[in-house]
Amino acid sequence: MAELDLADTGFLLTDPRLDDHPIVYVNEPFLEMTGYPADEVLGRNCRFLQGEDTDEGQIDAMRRAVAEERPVTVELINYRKDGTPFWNQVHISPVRDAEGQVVHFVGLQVDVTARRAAAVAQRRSSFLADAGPLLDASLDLESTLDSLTRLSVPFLGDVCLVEEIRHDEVLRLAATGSDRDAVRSADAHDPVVRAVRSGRAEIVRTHALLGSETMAMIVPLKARGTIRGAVVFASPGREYGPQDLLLAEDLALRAALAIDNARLYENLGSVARSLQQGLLPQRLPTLAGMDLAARYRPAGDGSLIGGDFYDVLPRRDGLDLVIGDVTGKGARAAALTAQVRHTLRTAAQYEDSPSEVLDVVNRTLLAERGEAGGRYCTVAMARIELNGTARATICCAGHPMPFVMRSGGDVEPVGKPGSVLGWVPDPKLLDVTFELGEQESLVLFTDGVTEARTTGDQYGLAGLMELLRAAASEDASGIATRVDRAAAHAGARRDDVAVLVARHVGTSAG
Amino acid sequence: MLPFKVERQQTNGKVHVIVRGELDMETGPRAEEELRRAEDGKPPVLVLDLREVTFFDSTGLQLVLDADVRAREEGRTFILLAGDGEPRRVLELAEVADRLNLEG
Repeated sequence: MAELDLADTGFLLTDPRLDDHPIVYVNEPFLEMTGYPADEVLGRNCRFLQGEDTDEGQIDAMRRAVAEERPVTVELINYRKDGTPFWNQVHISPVRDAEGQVVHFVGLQVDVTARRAAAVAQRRSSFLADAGPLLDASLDLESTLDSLTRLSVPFLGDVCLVEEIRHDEVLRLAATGSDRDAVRSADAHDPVVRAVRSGRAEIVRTHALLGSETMAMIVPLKARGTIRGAVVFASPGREYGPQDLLLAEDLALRAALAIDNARLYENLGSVARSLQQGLLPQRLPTLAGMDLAARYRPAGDGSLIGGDFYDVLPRRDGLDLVIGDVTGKGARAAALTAQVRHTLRTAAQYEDSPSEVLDVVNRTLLAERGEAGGRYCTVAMARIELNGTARATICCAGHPMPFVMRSGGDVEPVGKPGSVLGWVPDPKLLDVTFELGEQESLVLFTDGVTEARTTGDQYGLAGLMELLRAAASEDASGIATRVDRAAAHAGARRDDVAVLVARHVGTSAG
Repeated sequence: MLPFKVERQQTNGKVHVIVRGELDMETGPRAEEELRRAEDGKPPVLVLDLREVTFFDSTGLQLVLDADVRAREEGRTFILLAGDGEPRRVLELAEVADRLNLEG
């Protein structure tokens, strides 16, 4: 034994030829590890180290190896003399004499409690490290819940449920490994109801969740001081311990925050939508001789305020039509939109032509220029004078040129390209005047309509023209709806889509 | 899809800021930060290379116009390499292409 470094290794010899296979030799480290004096150990079978939490399977594996006289290594919980458990890695080998007869078994024992704790901690922390980004990846409630249940199975259980109490029912918001649509009444004895009310995580045996008695961990989902529901981990046949519960609580803490954030964001989405609606006319004015329609579709999930706007301003002998797109999104875009709209409305009352109105907007934006950069805006503005006929003057500032749908079915762009507003003091702004005949329509739109995405969207300007040609007989609302639908069908857009249609229906129809 | 990337290169008095991938609301601030850093070095010529930009919208337009205004204010030559993809299309639509130093 001299050449073996056994400083931390318990070493013992047993004699299988003696009654009950007793220990016949132990070294000092073994006695230190187990806390027994030598005289309480020698002559006894090793099983006195085992106890309540010792894995039967590991004991079996040892027994079989000894019976079959072959080496084996197991890891199991043993108990010191004072009753404290420790993880023991045991290696047993038979020792044969010259005739091949097994005369001893040698046992090497290493206390691996610390190593196992480190390994568990490592698994836990890597699980949580993986879980964090997955939970935070989405601000959508459904996908957050979905991530939570999927990443928990099977690490924390075969089944993961997220349940919430609403009024007198326990609703299942998400489930992996079980029925998603289960609803039950919120009974006071229900383990989920109990956990939500007490705020304490528990390990329970219950029938309430999976139909048969199962051990389950129930952890309240607490975020920003409020508990709305709980997450349940369960596995038929699995026993949970305090370590599992700690891990489940760690995960639940993160999940609760992610779920709360997703909810908050959904609310913000609706705030954004109502704010955006406030930046658009509530309804279009009714004007003799003109049939008007508009559609607006926010980009993506609609939770961000986009920069598109449109407006219709009635005049004594006609009307002004405006469509535009400010740079940026969110609150800054909303503020800029409000300002541009206001400036346009004011300037339109006293300026004689669209180019002069847009020049006022340009100067206003330049004056507002700050350290953080400029405020830019593209606009197409048409002034229509109704006097039996409809005479339109149009000016484009960095904006796609509107289309006119001629009565013969032709579709043509109108206006001359001009520069974006808010950039230079002398923008190129050109007025172009044309006649809008009866049953002819002017279609103003934002870049989002024709947005040529890198995702293979081939719709573009040509697609829009083709669509308009096919819509020649439609009224303003029909045309606007077609344009909006085509944009929606062309795929998820990052840019807002706005379209404003004015159809000259003439005095006979007006 | 080309991942977003922005890098800065310096060659005898010229600073190049090269943007690749999708220049949108999320990535815009990173490109802007890099541009501002490049400007801090007071180079006589600043080149913004957008030839490998695959998505370009009003965020990109804002970035370009702001950089152009700052260059004029600070007496610097601002050169834009717009390529022939989305950046050029958007810049042409906004009718700013002919008043920028557009190359490539």
